[in-house]
Amino acid sequence: MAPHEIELIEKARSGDTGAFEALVYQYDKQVLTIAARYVNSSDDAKDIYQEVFLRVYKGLKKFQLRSEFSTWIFRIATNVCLSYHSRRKRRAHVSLDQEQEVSDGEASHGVEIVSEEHSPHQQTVNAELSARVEEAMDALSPQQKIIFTLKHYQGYKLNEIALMLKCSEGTVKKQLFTAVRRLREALKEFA
Amino acid sequence: MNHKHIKELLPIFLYGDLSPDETAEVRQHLETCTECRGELESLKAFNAVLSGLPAVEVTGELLNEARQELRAALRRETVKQSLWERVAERAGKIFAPRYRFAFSAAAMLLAGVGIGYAIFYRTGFEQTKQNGMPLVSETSQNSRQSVNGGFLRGGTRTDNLHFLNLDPQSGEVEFTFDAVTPMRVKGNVNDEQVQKVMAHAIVNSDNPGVRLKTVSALAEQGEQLRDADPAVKSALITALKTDGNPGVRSEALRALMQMPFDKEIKEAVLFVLLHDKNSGMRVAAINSLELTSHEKRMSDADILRALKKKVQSDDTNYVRLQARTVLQEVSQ
Ligand SMILES: [Zn+2]
Repeated sequence: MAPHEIELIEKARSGDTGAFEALVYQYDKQVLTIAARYVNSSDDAKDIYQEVFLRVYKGLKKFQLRSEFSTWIFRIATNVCLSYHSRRKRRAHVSLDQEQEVSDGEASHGVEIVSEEHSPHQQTVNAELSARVEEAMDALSPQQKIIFTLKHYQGYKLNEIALMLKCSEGTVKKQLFTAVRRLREALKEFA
Repeated sequence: MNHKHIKELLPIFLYGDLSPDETAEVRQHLETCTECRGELESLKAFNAVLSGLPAVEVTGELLNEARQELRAALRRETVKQSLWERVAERAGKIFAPRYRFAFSAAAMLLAGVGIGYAIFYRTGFEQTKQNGMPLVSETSQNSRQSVNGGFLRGGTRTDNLHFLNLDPQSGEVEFTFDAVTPMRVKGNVNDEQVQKVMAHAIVNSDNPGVRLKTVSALAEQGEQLRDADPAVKSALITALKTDGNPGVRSEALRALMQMPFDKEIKEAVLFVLLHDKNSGMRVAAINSLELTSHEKRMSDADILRALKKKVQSDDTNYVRLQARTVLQEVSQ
């Protein structure tokens, strides 16, 4: 681990919140990104973010300096994702005329719905597809879902994912394959 | 060639995560196999569809919101921690001398002094004079953000400590007390500092409701009480021997009987048997002794002597009978 990181950890342990922030701000955007992809909601993502770093804060005293700090953070992040149950599970089904409203609401929370200009028909297809993808993702086991999210959307390497989840690379491969197979089955009419 | 095997490798192949050997194997197979090439194309199309969908984007604004909310949460956490530390520290300081007093004199405890007042004001006042530091909410001087600018500062009279709740599932206990504004701290009943506060409440609160709720909350912990802070045991013993409220004494006995039965607890139970004015308590003591005698298969000379004395001279008929029954069983 980098010496500056060890120094920050020691300061943070003694109650220096500035040091704590400097320490975790190296990784927090990645954590938020993972969470946002995993739950597909900015509010839930922020909940996860907060839970992760509260756990980091409380766990800092017990953190062993010989382990990698970033691995530890991402391990906590994936754990929190795995056990997270969306409080609001809204938008289980996005009906077509609600779609615009949802976008507006989300935008006011600092979220942009990334989409290019589409024809009305294209928008309809996308809304339906999004809802179906979310459904299909939720039908995966939490482990499959987080593995797929980390790999497909975030591009983490298999060995990195294995480290985060404390499992073997073989397990990651197997679960990833199963996730892809199940998603394709669920979405076969679209692709 | 094994299509199934290759097909399983294809998603990983697309992600670029196969070993060089596996990659070579897949490439070679694809050159000759139309079926697997088709599979690869449809997988690519599938990936493209998924990647093209709108997603929650993590903007700088969202990240900032998350950071602000975390900062607020950490602030609450720090305040909560230091509150418990403070509360426990105060409780500890007062607890020791008062406990001795209560123990030796078996006297009524000072009434009319609110527990919060006792914890924060009396000792707090001295400290304020010494160094002018805030009483309850001290935070590390390194802390960049001031945790609670001005709230609960110097000499604050803190009053009205109330035991509110115990969630038997999670072991969360909750107290409220008034400082400048009413405050509420929550902690786990298994936490050492929380237990010190509870111990303090048992011995020092002038409100029998607070004492009863606190003792009951502990009794509800069952087996977990075995690892309780020593202050808890002392407080329960004091309550058992001296609390003016029989309900509190009875719950204290129930709680103590879930701890390892040792000399101190034995003496306390014998004290109740010999001196408690409430015959129900004396019977409860006899039953507790019977229970431990069964469990430990022991016939302790002190216990036998006390039971004999009860058989001969307790002024309640039922107690004499109960003592006789248990004495017979125990001495077999
Ligand atoms: Zn093939």
